[in-house]
Amino acid sequence: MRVFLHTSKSEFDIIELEDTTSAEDVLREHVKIEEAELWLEDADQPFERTVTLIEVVEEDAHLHGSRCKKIEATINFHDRQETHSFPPSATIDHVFKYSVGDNGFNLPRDERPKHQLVLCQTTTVPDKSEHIGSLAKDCEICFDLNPKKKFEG
Amino acid sequence: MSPDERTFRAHLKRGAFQAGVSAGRWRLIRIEWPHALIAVSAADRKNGPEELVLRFELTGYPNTLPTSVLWDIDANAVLAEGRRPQGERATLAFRHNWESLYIPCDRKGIVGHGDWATVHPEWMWNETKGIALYLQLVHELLNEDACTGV
Repeated sequence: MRVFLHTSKSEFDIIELEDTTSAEDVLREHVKIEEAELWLEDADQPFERTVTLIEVVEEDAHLHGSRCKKIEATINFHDRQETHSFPPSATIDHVFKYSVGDNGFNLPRDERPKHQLVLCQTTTVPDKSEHIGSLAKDCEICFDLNPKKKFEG
Repeated sequence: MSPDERTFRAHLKRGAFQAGVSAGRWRLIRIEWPHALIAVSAADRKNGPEELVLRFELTGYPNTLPTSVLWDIDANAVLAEGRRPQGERATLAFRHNWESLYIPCDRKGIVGHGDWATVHPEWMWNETKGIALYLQLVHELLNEDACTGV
């Protein structure tokens, strides 16, 4: 069964799960990071290492291997700042919705889609499908919540 | 097979492109090198299509930027003006009076827009990210709330 495997690399891989492949197998054969754990996308807790993956995930599921149990995210918006912990398998889409939502900066609903997350001190706008754990350094990450711009000129 | 076609086909097998296919964000229709037809899904809008087709010209990929136009498969021609997505950013990006998509990662779109490298650095072409970057931007434009259909 095909699944997508995200790690601390910027690109994610496609791997095949056999009927008996466990989380431990994926960590040992593909993740290869000491003390790493395996997570399902946007899940709050990692898999038990002995779990047989095809019993708990679906075809084309997104998994994440990381030694970070949480990613501490700092998000800047104008002169305000919020910090929040996310699992490493949280998608950028999840972090964005938190940032603009009621528990974040609580932007007016019609303003929310007009913004995007940019990695601090870079020009990188991660795709909404990327995992926060693939972008973090030392289990920390920083975003600026910026308005999107039109293409004109 | 030429090196550019080989690289493009390899990029289609990578996680970023395949995850987009799996999520229903885009799909490959066919490759007729140096062209490729890729459909990108669009948000549900009154009178709006479920997807729009891009006809890419990919000579020199990925060292040379791709360029694409909105394509009418039935007519085998560039999509007519009245069938193009409208909206705050979409109207400009998919304008009819330009010979390509009007976006920074397009070979023809970027011509004459030296300031885009400063204003839109995140959407400048990136050989490493490849075709997935281009498709991510088009998918975003077609699915943001401000895109009102055709």
